[in-house]
Amino acid sequence: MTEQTDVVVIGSGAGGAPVAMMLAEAGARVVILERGPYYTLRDFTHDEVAICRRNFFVPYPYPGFHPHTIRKRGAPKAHLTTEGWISVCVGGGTVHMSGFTYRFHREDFELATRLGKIAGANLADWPFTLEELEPYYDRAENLLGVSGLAGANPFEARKRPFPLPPLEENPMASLLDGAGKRLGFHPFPTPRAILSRPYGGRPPCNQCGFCGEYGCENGSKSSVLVTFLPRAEATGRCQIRPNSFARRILVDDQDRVEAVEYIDADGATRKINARVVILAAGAIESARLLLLSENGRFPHGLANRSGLVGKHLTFSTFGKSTAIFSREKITQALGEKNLHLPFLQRSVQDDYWNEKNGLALPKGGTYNFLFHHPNLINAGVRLAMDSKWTLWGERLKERLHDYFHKEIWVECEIFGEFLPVDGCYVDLDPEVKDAFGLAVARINMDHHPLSDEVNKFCVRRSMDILEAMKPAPEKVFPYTWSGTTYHLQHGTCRAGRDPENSVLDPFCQAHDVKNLYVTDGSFMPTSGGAPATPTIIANSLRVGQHLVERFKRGEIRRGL
Amino acid sequence: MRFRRRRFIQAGAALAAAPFCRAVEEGKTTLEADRERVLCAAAERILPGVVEAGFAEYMKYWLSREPFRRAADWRPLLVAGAAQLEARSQQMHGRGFANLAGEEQDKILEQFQQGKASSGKFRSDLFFQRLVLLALESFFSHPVYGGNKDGVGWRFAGYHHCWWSPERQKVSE
Repeated sequence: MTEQTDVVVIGSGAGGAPVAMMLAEAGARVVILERGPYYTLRDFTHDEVAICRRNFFVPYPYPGFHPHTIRKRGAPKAHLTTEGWISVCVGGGTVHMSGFTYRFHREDFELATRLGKIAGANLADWPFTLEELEPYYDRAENLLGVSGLAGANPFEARKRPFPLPPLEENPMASLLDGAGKRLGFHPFPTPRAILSRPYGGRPPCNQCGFCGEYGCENGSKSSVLVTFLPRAEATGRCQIRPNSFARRILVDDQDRVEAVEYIDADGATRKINARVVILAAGAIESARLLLLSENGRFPHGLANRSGLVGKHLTFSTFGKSTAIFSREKITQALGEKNLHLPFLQRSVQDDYWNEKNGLALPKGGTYNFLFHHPNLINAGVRLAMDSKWTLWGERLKERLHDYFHKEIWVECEIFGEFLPVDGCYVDLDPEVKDAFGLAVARINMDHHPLSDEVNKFCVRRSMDILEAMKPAPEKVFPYTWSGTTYHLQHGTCRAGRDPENSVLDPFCQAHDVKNLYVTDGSFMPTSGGAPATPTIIANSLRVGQHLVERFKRGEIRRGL
Repeated sequence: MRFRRRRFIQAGAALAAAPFCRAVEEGKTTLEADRERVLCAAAERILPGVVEAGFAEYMKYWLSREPFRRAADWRPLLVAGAAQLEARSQQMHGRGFANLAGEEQDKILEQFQQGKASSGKFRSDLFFQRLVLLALESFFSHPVYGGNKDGVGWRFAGYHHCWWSPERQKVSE
């Protein structure tokens, strides 16, 4: 007999957990299908090999496992990759995120209007405004326990304070403040989804510094695993099913979702009927599931009469510069006190929207200054790779010793607008299959030249800031002029008002399938100039509010 | 492109695999044990001290598991690379690689690093890079995988591991 429930949510991360929590709290029966395992805090160690270099979070990129493939512009063939995967487990990407919680700015919602036509870029305004999202940013920040300093960033419109003060920071932050001031920038404490005080029964951060790429064993980093999901489960109406891979969404002859077919933890194929299905598997895997769910009524993929499922894929552009300081000089200038603390914790958004940047595109992004990650193996690998593998033997050992004992590395990571282009999209790989025999997602990769240009501009400007720090760094160098942050992924089911030009309506309901919603980053018409996780969470709460109202009016049980 | 902390080297060389066995543990002198000795000698030149820190055990742990047993850029690449190192050593010096002086080994390794020892589908530069990665991993990883014996790599880095330890099983096949 096929199981019946009110709501099935596919994916338990930033897009799925908030809406699941709201519906469960409103009285709906919710089942969350999560393809990954259900880790608990005890599973989170500082095992760099398993976590960063094996498959604890991200599948192996080999046939018969769960690879993605990627085909870059001009390349004849796609190759296997881990790119585009975020941590595959209950809580999704929020488990291994760094927890940068910038809000989007007004420009992000109306890029098409502000920029007009840009050749080669498929811009669109968002179908809702910052004002409509703002109350949900507030709620998201309160539920997560975001730490930050209201008013410190003059480029952010914010009416309410952060729920928690900024995290305790390394005294080197004052050097960045000085450099920013001298050059006319406005550095501010980076808002983080990391607790600076006890909050919601969770302890404050222990300042271990292993945030990005790792799960937080302390429960202080506010993944949805320790925030939204426990609340959802506490209702007694929300069941999380780990190791459960949704392989197909089935529709009836009225274009309504009937059931979700999934492979359970034991490898058995099961069906679950739902009145509403909420898809939130991440922009790449959500598009893949819709494409895999093609049928007679939807020959090009479910909810894809527009032909736009998988199109308009955007990531975040990525740039990086590095400054190497002498530990001795810094200690002389600042003393030993708190110099071990891991958070440099400064960001700059002066170039988020800069009409004086002298470029055809005023839209840039966010500069995030931080210390080099405490990973040990990665430090060695980076030194070896930076030398084009010529650094080995005693020289490598000496270089490593200096790195660990005599140097302090400060980096600037830049997250910028990734303009949507025709050549960047997800489709099904015609050759490579996953462990279940299903076509894997193929990332077709292209960049807009203007995104690259702005990115380079930002990298140069970030180097100006690093060079202006006093005591001066020994060396400042560019690391990435025009890269991509593949785990920040959006756009494959663009939301809009016109079913011809979008996949979802303004509340993320599929135009073509009325009881199907998509609440991960897929809805985003443009990438924004900062990591989108808090925006995805806020939007999931916004959709959640809309669905709760429909649930309370009985519309969900009667059928949408 | 951005360098990713979790990035795997995605080499393409598909090479004939030879069984990499526990010959040393079992006290047998086999071809496989010879290859292990060659790889250890090379790793020691790449990161001095790594053999005493448990390089062989670390390497064997991972190469005996899927997908590394069969993935073209892991065991097949390392087995082929060991054979190529040995062949070049015999050709140049008439002796096995493990028995060469350090400077002689370095000269050969430099050719591999520069891709000058590639032949057919075998890419000597990718083999060299894989050895560097394995050497660094074994030196700095948690000792649970056999490398970093007694935390020697952590002491070198001044790193204090004060959190609970991983279990090997958490890395699933």
